[in-house]
This record gives sequence, structure tokens and C-alpha cells, in this order.
Amino acid sequence: MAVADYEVVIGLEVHCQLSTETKMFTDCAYHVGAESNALTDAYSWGLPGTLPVPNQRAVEYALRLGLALGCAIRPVSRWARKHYFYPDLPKGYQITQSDLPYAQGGAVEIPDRGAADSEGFATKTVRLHHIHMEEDAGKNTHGGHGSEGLSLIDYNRAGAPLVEIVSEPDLRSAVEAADYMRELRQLVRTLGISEANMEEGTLRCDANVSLRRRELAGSETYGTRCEIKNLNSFKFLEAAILAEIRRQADLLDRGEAVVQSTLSYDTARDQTKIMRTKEAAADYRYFPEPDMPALRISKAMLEAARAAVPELPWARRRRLLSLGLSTYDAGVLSAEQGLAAYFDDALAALKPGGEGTAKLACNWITGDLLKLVNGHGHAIEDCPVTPSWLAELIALVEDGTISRRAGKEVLDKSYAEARSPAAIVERDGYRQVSDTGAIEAMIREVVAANPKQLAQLLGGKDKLRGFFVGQVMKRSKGQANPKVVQEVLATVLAEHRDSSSD
Amino acid sequence: MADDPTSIDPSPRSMSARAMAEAVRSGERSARELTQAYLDAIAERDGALHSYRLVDAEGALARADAIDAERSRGATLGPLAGVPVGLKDNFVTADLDTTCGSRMLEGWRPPYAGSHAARLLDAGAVILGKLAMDEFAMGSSNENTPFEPVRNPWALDRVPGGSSGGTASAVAAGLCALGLGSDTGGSIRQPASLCGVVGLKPTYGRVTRAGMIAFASSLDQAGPLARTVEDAALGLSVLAGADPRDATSLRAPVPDYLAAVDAGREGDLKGVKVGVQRSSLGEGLADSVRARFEASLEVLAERGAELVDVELPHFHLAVAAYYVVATAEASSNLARYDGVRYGASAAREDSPPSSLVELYERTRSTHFGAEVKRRILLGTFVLRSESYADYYGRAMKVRTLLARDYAGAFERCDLIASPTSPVPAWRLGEKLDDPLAMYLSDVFTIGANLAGLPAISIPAGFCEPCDDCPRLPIGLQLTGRRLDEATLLRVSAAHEAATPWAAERPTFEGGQG
Amino acid sequence: MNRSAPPEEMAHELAGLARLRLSDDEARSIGSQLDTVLAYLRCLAEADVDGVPEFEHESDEGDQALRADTPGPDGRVEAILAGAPKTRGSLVAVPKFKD
Repeated sequence: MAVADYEVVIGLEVHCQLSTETKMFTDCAYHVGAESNALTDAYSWGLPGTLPVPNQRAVEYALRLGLALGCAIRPVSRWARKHYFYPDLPKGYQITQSDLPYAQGGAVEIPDRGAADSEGFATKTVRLHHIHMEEDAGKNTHGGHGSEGLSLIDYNRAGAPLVEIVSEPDLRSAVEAADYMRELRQLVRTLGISEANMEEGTLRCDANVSLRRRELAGSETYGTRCEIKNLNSFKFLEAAILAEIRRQADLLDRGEAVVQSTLSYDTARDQTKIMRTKEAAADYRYFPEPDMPALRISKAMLEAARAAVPELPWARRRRLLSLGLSTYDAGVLSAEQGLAAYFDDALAALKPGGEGTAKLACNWITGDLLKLVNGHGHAIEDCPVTPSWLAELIALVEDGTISRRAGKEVLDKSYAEARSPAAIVERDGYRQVSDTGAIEAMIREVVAANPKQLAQLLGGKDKLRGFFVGQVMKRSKGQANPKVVQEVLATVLAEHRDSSSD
Repeated sequence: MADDPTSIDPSPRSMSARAMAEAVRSGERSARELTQAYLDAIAERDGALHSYRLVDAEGALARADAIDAERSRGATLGPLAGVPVGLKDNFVTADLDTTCGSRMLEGWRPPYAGSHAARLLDAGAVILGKLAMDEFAMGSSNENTPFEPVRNPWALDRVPGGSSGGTASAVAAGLCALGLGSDTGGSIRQPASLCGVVGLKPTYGRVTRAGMIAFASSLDQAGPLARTVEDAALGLSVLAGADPRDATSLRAPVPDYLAAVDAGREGDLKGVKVGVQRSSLGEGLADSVRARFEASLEVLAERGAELVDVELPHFHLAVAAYYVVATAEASSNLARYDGVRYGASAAREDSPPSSLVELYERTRSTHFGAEVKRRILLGTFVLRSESYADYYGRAMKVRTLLARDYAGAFERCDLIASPTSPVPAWRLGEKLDDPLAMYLSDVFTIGANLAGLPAISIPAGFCEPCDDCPRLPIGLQLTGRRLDEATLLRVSAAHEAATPWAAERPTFEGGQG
Repeated sequence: MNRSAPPEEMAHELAGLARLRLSDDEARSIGSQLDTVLAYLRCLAEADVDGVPEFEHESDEGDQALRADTPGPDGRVEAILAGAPKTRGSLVAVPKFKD
């Protein structure tokens, strides 16, 4: 049999570090990238006599996540100790939550790549088992130069606040697993609760993979699962799952049993390797953490967390599509919370709503404005052109006060000088001449000055119409409204036609 | 009485802690004078007792001078101004060795300040040093130690009780004016009883645990040991109150404990109902202890208290529940001693370990004593996923039943009286080989820890000396409602005022208390 | 774990989990002591605990025992590091192991 004969079943355990000032259970400052052991204190080292006190903001962030994912929040949840000996685990146990986690159920929506939906916006629901809070462990490095035979431990990360998001086995491919991770990453960034950077380890994941024969798809019968630990990039996440699928398919093809085990992914060999099997699995001796009372979530805390949940990425995408934007545009605008907010503000400042307006605002933002922002290395939040200025600019172009081309120049200046578009239009004289009288006078001058071209045009060489428009624009120093020029030119030409046929 | 400044004893050590602080505040005595008197006494007499693990003479004198200087500057001094105190060696003292009675922490100098030491120092106390204890507070005799075992000042061949045996012995012998102990299953009250002093275990959460090296987190409470009820009340008033470093510490307001003591000394006990569980006074209770207990009940009744019978239906399961919960939590709390980050380590030895497992196993096997290992193994057993429901889970449910028993009893009475220890101090080595017999001697004290209730042991007289046994102190235990330390102190003060025991001091070879 | 296993075997097994190494003599004596204590602890089975929750200490009403997310005073890292048995620079060192 081949890989194609099996259905792949994947569940992910995602660890996401919360971007608080201090650690989960101690007031020790923490951030990524400090000198080793600089961000530690007595608690981080597990010194005798130290006790854990939970971080209110970490709990608030965790609640925000649980609410955003539609989890049921337990009014009373419990901390638990999980025991194992490891040099990076200062107390010989990790404080986590086990039988009573703070959030249960919920779901993540990912793109359904299999769906025959031309918009590409069909989604698939990945159910969550639960989310819990816990503290992180330190970091080990092994036998570098000058430390042969030693492993070295940095306790900076020890005690950093984490949420662990545990999915049900609802993912069916490595690609879906990566999509799921991307959705979570975007979500926690939107919520403002985590940097969620896989390279820096603020987003990590373990993958549980099993295979079952195709005919069992949809049933409750699963194959034996194996857990791949510590996947720290999107690339390796997919590659490791694919490698594990190959390994298990190979075993099954040969009629061998998959043994429940924990694996690591060898990036050099592109293979998964067994670290330990279930028989050797540790007994973590969980029990309720006696150093802290149960975690009680007050109504006020829950309401505050609910109020802090912004519009979620997929909800936003649906809303943008409903405004008549293309799939592509909706994708670009919803990718970043800041960009979407800019769009919403600009749209609100533009007077008539409606489909055309949304498209117009989107074009200006994703086109000229983003080019400027990216060119300056800015974030959209730092853009000197405020959403209301952009709306002002769009209105100036739309009502014909300035030309579209002038609009681009005005935007450049507005960006460079942090000055309102209206002020620049006035100062630099970008206002179009739309006064038909003035334009007609100019046209008559041009027509009179070019009798040969007029004769040819009237003789049927219609291309020369552009020549006359160009001459008028030149004479007006570019300020004539081209639309008005076209209209008046048509009237003047009609007069000449009438008089020549007389 | 001992705190009478006109006492014929010229030694400042005969004063109560409260009187000492008043004398320092008024300028009648200097902190240095008091401190020096205690340091001299320790130098002279502790050779026979071994109650101190470490005496910080230099630090104590410097601290005393600082207090005297503060006074001469006109600063307001705290309630323990200049009072020389001793701390059980499981309380973290910044930059002062904290050993917890174990080779595992020998030479460990904490790089942070524990809350108890900080509160005592803030109140003006002078820390004389650290007091001996059973290793990691596991024991009832102070014999679970790699160091010299502490002696009972009333009979040097007898144990002082445990695990706060060093504190009880030092307080009894007048080697500190006030002592700090910890109580997981009776570790303040039982040695207080065996050494003839007052020992108070507060309500769980009344006193912080931050800076107290954990034995069993849901049972541990710190509390004072003192010669008088008044000094115990003074100690508690300094220690009690919420601590942002301990999430289990309680914010409930701290009442005026000294006022409760005054009320007990001066008033009667009319309206106070004292519960007695007659069914608990059977097998294993020494006749001398029974006699003193009955005498104490009479004293309380004479002062106006009403005696009522109560029954705690799950009392007989308390020892079993306690040993499951305490060992489970201990096995967890002691996992951190692995030789990697601090304390004793095989990595410090001449032939360093060649593997991580060897580092762990050599460190832990060499530096933990036998009783600690026994309890770690028992605790590991009861937490295993396959034994959790039958042992840990069940013990925690029995604990709920016991707490309900107490709640039921407190509908009928205000406090429950019992002996503290079923026997007076026994000989060193007498019970060492029988851990279960040792565990059973905690029968009266562990209920308060399991239910989180306050309990106190106060002197209740002495056994009649006989061929087999000298005159040894016996304690009365009072267990109260949650957060009702005031009633315990009031009734204790009444008992103390009506009896001569608080004034009696031990004499022993090598010194007079 | 096999509860009917000889006490010394049980002691060795538990010691492995607790990272203690016992000599055979120690395992024999601790094993038999554990056996005695465990036999005593079986009295817990007498209690009717149906529907009884595991014990929890009462806490202050309305107190969530949470801490503000504000960094505290400096953690005295140098003093802490100075107490470590073996270090390399500002890292803690142990015999090499595989993650």
C-alpha cells in the first residue's frame, strides 16, 4: 500500500508564550533575547522558600484567548504540579493545569483547501480539547566549545507564562497542521497576547500523528499515535509530519505495529526518531498545587476579557468580502490588525459608504499607501498619513478637485511632510480647472492655432483628438480637468463640423 | 511573675519579650545589653543542649547597636524593639546560613530575604541565630538529624520533641526571648509541650509561608514559641497578615491579640464552651498526661468555662490521612534538591559524576537522611497515577470529612481541649527504629493541620517523678475555630494566670535556665 | 507498580522515580518499613467518601490572589549564580545529557 491508502490524523499541542512584563508566577521581568540567566530571581531558580503567585495579566491574556476561540471558561480552575527531573526544570515539577484547565472546548477555523469554493474562503473547523496555563522551563545547550562533556542551562525562560492549546485530532494533513498554526499565530497576534514567533520559541508545537486505513475515515477508530516533540518552524512542522507519515505507513505496509512513542525530528536526515516508548513514559504524579488557591475567575474579569477581544481574522475576512472586496484584497487587509483598522477608519471617514467606496479605499491603501509605508520601513501604525487624511485625498480625487495623477503626488507629499492633502493641494496649486468657460477659451485658441490638424481630424483621423487634449493640458499647465476638456472639445468640434458642412 | 522588673533575678533574660521591648523603647535597657546577655547565656549553656545550629553573634550585636542608634536618633521603635529572637533553621535569612537541618543545605546562604525574618526585623527584633530541627522538619524528636541531636533542658537524656525542638529547647532554657517555629503536624506544639513552653500554630494562611522552606505546603504554618501566652500573642501579632509573596496567605484583618491575652488574664471564662472528645483519651495516653489534662479542665471550669463533650467521627483516620498528604507534598517539595543549582551536590565532590542521573542520585542519596528518604518514597508511592485515587485522593476526601467534623463540633463549643502529646518527653533513641510508633505520637496535633485550624500548646504542669522518669513538663492543647486565635489566647492566658507553670524554669547540668 | 512485589523491589522502583539510589540493605529496611506504614494507611478505605470533594483551604472571599504584572526588585542573580555547584560563565553546568 502507499501513503495514499491511509488517512492521516493529526492533533497539535501548541505552546504560546504570553507577552507579559513578568513571569507566570513571579515578578521577575522576562523577554526574549537577554543575556543568559540575567532575567532570573530566587523563584526562577526554585530556591527553597519561594512560592508562586499568579500574574493577573497572564490570566487576562489567557482568558482573552479562551473567549476568542469560543471555549467554555471554568469559573474555578486548578493549578497542578507535574513532576519530572530535568536540569531546566528548577523545582523538579512544572506548575500547570491538568484535570481542571481554565478553558475547555472551542474551535479554530482554518482554510478548507479541499473545498471546491471559487472564492477560496470555505473553512474547516478544528475542535479544541482545552487550553491551560503553565510556566515554561529553562533552556539547555549541549557541549559547545570550551564546555565539552557539559550541558549548560539558562533559566531566563524558566517560569515564563505559557498557554497550551490542545486540539482534537481533527487535522488531516501536514498542510492543514501548518494552516492551523498560522491561524493561531495570527489570532494571538491580533489579540495582542503573544509575539508568537516560532524562530524565537514564543510559539512551539508538538504533533500527535496517527494513520488509519481510508475506509475507517470518519469513524471513531484511530491508529496508534506518536508524538513529535519541539517543532520550531513552519517548515519543520510540515516536514516532520510528512516524515512521520512515511515512517508509520512503512511500518503498516510491512504488517508491523506502530508503537506509541515520543519522537524528535532529525532535520538533517529528514526523519523522525524515537526518543522513548510508552512503556518508558514517566509517571508525572500530578496533584493539585498546594501553594496556590484554586483560580477563581470573577464575572468582572471575564467581562473585561470579553471586551478586550477584537474582531477575529476570519470574521474580519468575511466582513471585508461582504463589502465587495476581492478574496485577494480581503486577505491582504485582514492579515494585519493595524492594516484592517486603518482601512476601517478610512472607510468610515469617506462619506458615501457602499461597495464602490470600499474598493476605492482598498485600492489606495493596498496600492500607493502600502508602497510608501513599506518603502519607508514603517508599520502601518506609524504611517504619517492618517486614515482621515487618506479619506480626504480620495474625496479630492473623486469629486474632480484634483486629478488622479495629482492625487498620487499629493499623497507622496502628505506622507513626507505629514501635512493634510487639502493643505498641499491649496499650497501647490493642484486644483484642476473644471470651469468650462476657461477651458473652452483655451480649446478655441488651440483649434485656431492648428488648422491643419483640425482639418485632418474633421476628415476622420479621430486619433488627433488626443493631440488637442494634450495641447490644452499643456496650455493649462496640467490643471485642466481632462474629463471637462474632452466634453468641451467634443462640443467645439461639433460646431466646426456643422459649419464646414454648411 | 517573670515579667516583673523588680524580680530578684537581675538578668534581663527573666523579663518577658514584651517587657524587654518596652524597656528598650523607654531607654531603660539597651538592645546591646539584652543581646549580649543572651549571647553569653548561649555560649555558656548551649553546649549541653545543642539547640542552636548557628549563632550569629556579630550580626546580632550589629543589629542591636543599630536599634540603639535608632532610638538615640528618636526613631519610633517596633513592638519587638531589641528583643533577641531565634529562628528555626527552615526560615530563610538573607546572607545567613539556612540549613533546614539537612546536609543537603549545609552552607547554603540564601540570596534573598524570607518574609518571617523580614517581619521580625521590621518589628525591631535581633536575630541571635538559627535553631536546630529535624531534617526538613520531618520528625517528632529532633533525632532525624545529621548533626548533634538537641536535648530537653528538663532532662538532658530526653528528646525536646520535634521538629521545632531546637526552638522549644532554647525558649525553655532562656536562650532566646522569643522563638520562631513551624508546624506541619504538631511541630510547634509537641516540642512546646515536651519542653514546658507555649507554642502556637495559627490558622492556615494567617502567617505567610514565603521564606519558610516547605515540607508539606498545605499543612505548614509558622508560629511563635514563647515562655508566656502574652509573648506568643506578641509574636503572632508581628507575624500575622497578608503577604503578597504567598498566594495562600489571608487578608482577613489581624485582631489585637494582646488585648485578648489581657482579657483572659483579668476576666473570667463565663460563656466559653470547651469541647472534650472523651473517645480520643484512650489507648496510648500516659497516666501522667491524663491526670494533668483533667486538672487543666478543672482550672478552666473554675474560671467559668463550660465543658461539653464533642465527637469527631473521623478523628481515628487523621494520622493515616496526614501521612499520605504530608509525604506526597514532601516528595514533591524536595524534588528541587538535585545538586544542579544550589546546596549540596555530587558535582562539588572530588570525583564528580559522569552523568546527569549519577549527579541526581548521588546528591540525593548521600545528602538526604533516612527519614527524609522514607517519606519521599512513601510520598512518591501515594502520588503514582495508579495509587492516587486510593491514597492521595482518598486522604484529601477524608481531610474534608475531618474538617466537617470540626465544623460540627464548633457548633457546640468554642474550642476543643486535648493533651498535646500522649506522652511526656522520651529518651533519645527510644523510638528511633519504629517510624509508625513515632507517627502515632502526633495523634492529637495533626487534626488542626489537616483542617487548617489554629491550635496552641500551653504548660499544664509536670508528671510526678518516679524511678523511671524525672519531673517532666506536660502540655495542654486548645484547638480553635478558623481565624479565632484570639479566643485560644484568651483562654490560654486565663489558664496561665491560674497556674504556676509559666514561672518554672529548667535547671540542667551546664546551666540554669 | 506491583503492590504485591517484595517490599525491597518496591523500594528500589520508587527510589528510581525519586532519583534516590538505595543499597540493597537500605531497600530491605526501608521497604519493610514502607510495607508496615502502607498496611496502616489502608484504614483510609473504611471512610465513606462517596461524593466528598478533596479538601481545599478556605480563602478570603473575593480574593483572587493574583499579582500585578509589574517587575519586582532585582533578583540578585550574581549571588544566586555564586551558589551554584558548577557553572560556565553565567550558565549552570551539568554532565552532558541528550534532550
